[in-house]
Amino acid sequence: MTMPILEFNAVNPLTYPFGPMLGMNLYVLLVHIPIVGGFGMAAYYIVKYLRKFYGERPIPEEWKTFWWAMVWGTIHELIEVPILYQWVVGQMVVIVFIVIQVIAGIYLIRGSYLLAKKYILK
Amino acid sequence: MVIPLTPSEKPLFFGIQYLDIGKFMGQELGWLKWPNLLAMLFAAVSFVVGAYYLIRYTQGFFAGRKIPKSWKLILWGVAITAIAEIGEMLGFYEWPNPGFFEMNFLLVLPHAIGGILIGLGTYFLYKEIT
Repeated sequence: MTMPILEFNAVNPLTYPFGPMLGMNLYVLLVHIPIVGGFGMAAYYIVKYLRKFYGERPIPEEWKTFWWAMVWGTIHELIEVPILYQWVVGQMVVIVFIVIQVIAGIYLIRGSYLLAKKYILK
Repeated sequence: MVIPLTPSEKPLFFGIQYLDIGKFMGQELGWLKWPNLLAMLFAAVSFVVGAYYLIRYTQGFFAGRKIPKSWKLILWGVAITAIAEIGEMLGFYEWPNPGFFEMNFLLVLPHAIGGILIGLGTYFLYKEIT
């Protein structure tokens, strides 16, 4: 059966994906806190770091890009939750997932490349 | 209506024999098969490339000096997340029969550890200047 364009499902994370194995379902659910939270925390603390370190001075492009990589990384991890639980299913979701992954990847490569370029790749 | 597929009753240790790039979470991808595969490969590669350039950055920036805890954690976090992105491909493509090994040791745990390390690393980065 071909994937639908867009569908929504009411899936209980306490009974999914391992059915009656509540412990395993809880483990899968709770582990998403550090997964999403870690990238979110990174985006938050990089902003605080940059504001503190640069103050009134302009923030260099490499740091801005690296920060965006963390923001898009958070979005990337976040969208995986409804995909895993199949709350939202369909081609639209896959397209959004593809776009987010590509944007996050580009920012990560560019941000880290620009950081390295400043000190190494001359 | 799509019925969410759940893993088989008898969990498998390895589910690699169920890997099918034509399906995503058990649903037929159709024309999205190749764009999805390329995007997932790109995501995994981006973390490997990101880790490489961050190593080069820290080597250059801290030349001769001790690399602080913050950057060590960020580097390890990005590198470990690269493993998770590879595991993600396996998990999504093997569904509804993902292997216990792939799901835990290549997907869930590296994702959680990578996220924690990156988050903690940036926290220490901020604390180092305050």
